[in-house]
Amino acid sequence: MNFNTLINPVYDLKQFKNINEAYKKNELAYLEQYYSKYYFVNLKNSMEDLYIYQAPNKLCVIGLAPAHPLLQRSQDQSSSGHYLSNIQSIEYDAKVKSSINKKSIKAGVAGWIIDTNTRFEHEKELLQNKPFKEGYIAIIKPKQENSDKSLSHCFSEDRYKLIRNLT
Amino acid sequence: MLKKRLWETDHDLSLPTRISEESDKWKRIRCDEVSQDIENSYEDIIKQISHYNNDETTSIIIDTMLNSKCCARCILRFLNVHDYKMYSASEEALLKLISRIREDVLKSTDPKLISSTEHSFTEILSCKPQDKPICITCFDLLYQADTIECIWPIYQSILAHNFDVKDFNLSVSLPTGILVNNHSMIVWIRKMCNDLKVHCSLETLVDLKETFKPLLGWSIGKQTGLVYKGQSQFNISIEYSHEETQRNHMFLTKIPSAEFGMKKTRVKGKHIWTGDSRPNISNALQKVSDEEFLKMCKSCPPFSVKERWKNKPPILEHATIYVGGLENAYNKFSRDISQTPWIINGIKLAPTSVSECIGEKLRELFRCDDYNIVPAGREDSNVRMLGNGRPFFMEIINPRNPFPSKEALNDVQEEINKEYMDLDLSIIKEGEETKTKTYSALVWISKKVTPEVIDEINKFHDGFTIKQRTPIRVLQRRSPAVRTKKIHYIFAEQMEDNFLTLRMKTEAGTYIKEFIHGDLGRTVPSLGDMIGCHADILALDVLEVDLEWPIQ
Repeated sequence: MNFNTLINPVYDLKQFKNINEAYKKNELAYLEQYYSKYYFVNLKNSMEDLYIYQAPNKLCVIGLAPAHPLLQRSQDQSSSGHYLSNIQSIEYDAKVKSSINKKSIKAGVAGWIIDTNTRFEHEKELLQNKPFKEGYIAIIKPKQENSDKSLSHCFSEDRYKLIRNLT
Repeated sequence: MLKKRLWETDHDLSLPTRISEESDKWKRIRCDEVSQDIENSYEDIIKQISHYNNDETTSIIIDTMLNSKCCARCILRFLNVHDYKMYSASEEALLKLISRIREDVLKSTDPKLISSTEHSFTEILSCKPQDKPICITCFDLLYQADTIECIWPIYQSILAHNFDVKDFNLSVSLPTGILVNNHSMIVWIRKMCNDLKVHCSLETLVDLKETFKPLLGWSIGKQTGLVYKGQSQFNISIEYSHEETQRNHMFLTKIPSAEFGMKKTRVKGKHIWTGDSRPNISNALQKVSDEEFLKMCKSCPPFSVKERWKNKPPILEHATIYVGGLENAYNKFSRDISQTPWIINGIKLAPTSVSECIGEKLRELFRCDDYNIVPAGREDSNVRMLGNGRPFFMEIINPRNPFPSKEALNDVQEEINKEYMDLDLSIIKEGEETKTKTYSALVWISKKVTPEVIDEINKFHDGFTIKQRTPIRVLQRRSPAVRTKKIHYIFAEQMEDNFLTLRMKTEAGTYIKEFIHGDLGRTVPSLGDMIGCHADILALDVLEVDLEWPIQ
């Protein structure tokens, strides 16, 4: 370390070659550096699947999974409004409950809502246009700290693609 | 909870020696030869004690206590002799003094008395120390305060740890039995006065601790050459116990006017009694009338005791020393070291830390129990600390060697820098004041980096504002909130393919990583938003640090 490198650091791109290749294949691949991806398959309400991104601190970000009806080409923008109004009902619950009642949404992981996506207020389209990043639905703190137990009913990305016949 | 770290758990102390001869235990460390003084200042002493008690009471105090075979020093306490130096005289000299006082007050109350015999017990009390009956008002603590046996544990501890100090102060905790026994003796003396129809003037006496501490302190001082003074940074704490009398206050629970209650609670699965602290016992004793006390307390006058005092191992502690300051800073060139030890659920997540690299070496120099790093701010493990470094100071806990030489400190600094060149950690001694943080980052974006992309970013080189919701990675310990932060300066440089470097100057408290990848849209605008694609941060370095000194 000489004085120059103290104020003008040098970066060796060779060590990032593999990352570059992986990231170029899938522009959201970088998320895997920060989250473990799980998928919740909703067997009761057909296809209303959710992704669950779990951070190292155990917090879970949930959002619409690829097979979700709202993300299919046939849907138009207005249906996100209806879906989002359902989210109002989980906003005020202390706990996320599973329910057959269409007014609330099964979250995929039991726990407490820490934060919801406040951008939906003015940018409803985020839900359908950018579901995997800016369009996440809520952040949940799982009741059970051990992921093996709290997410035992979920699937990895590869298995999920198999189950739902996705590429 | 981690177990407290001590110097002696991982280092050998010098071995303690035992007192060679049984008889040596009783040798006294005299700080002055006061016996002569007593002869000379007899008149003053008599005047002093007559301030507190009338002659009849004085003689009853002396007789009652001699009957109970209390030691001479305790008798002086009850007579309210406040000149602590007097207490270091020999037992013989003090017994002589007491006899003389006794004779004088007897004469003054009954002038017809031509001569009086010495109280029979004075002979018993001046016999060989080992055979003397144990004093019931001090359990021989005061009697032995200046003997080898009493100072030995402390003396050995000081030698074993090899504290490099010049002075010391004392914290002493006496057995709880002392409280009831002394009160019991007062009540008994008052009863004796009443029985003999004498107006009892006994209201106060000299507290045992007040005479014990100076005696102990002067003796330790003489033995070790250290100075006993109250403001010393080096504290010796010692706790004394007396098993035989440790529950002699329990009868107070049966006296309503004492307002003395004890509760049974569970601590770590064991049932223990609480509520019998020394202040509580003292207060309760004050509230009880003499009649109630005589009725309910079985040991009035106090029973004789079969055992002397015992002590717990003394605790020696030097006040915390602080090393470092604004002129001291560290650089961290590694992306694999945390600032402080990073252990989750017993697993070490980073091989070492800045704190350990510096602290472990300082620990050997200061011979301390433990250390803490207090840095001006912090950075993640995978972030380098470049530029002029981050200022810090170290807290050194209980150093045996509190004031090493400047050369020794410089040597340690060199040693740290040499050893950690591999791990890339060095300490430099420069400091410059800045009010912001400057960073350098390596960034990947999801499209090819072109001069247009660079220009798009550099349009904002004069700064802009961002809004950050609490990053998801810290949401588990912070509340969700929006923070507006200023980016004072941003400058992008093109590298090959999808890579670029960023240099930024930001307001303190800005989350850089989240600005770059956007934190799922919780930081707006993110770098990605500014250039219309995704971005991720691959490496981050801190170049300059702002100097908000931690507020104590």
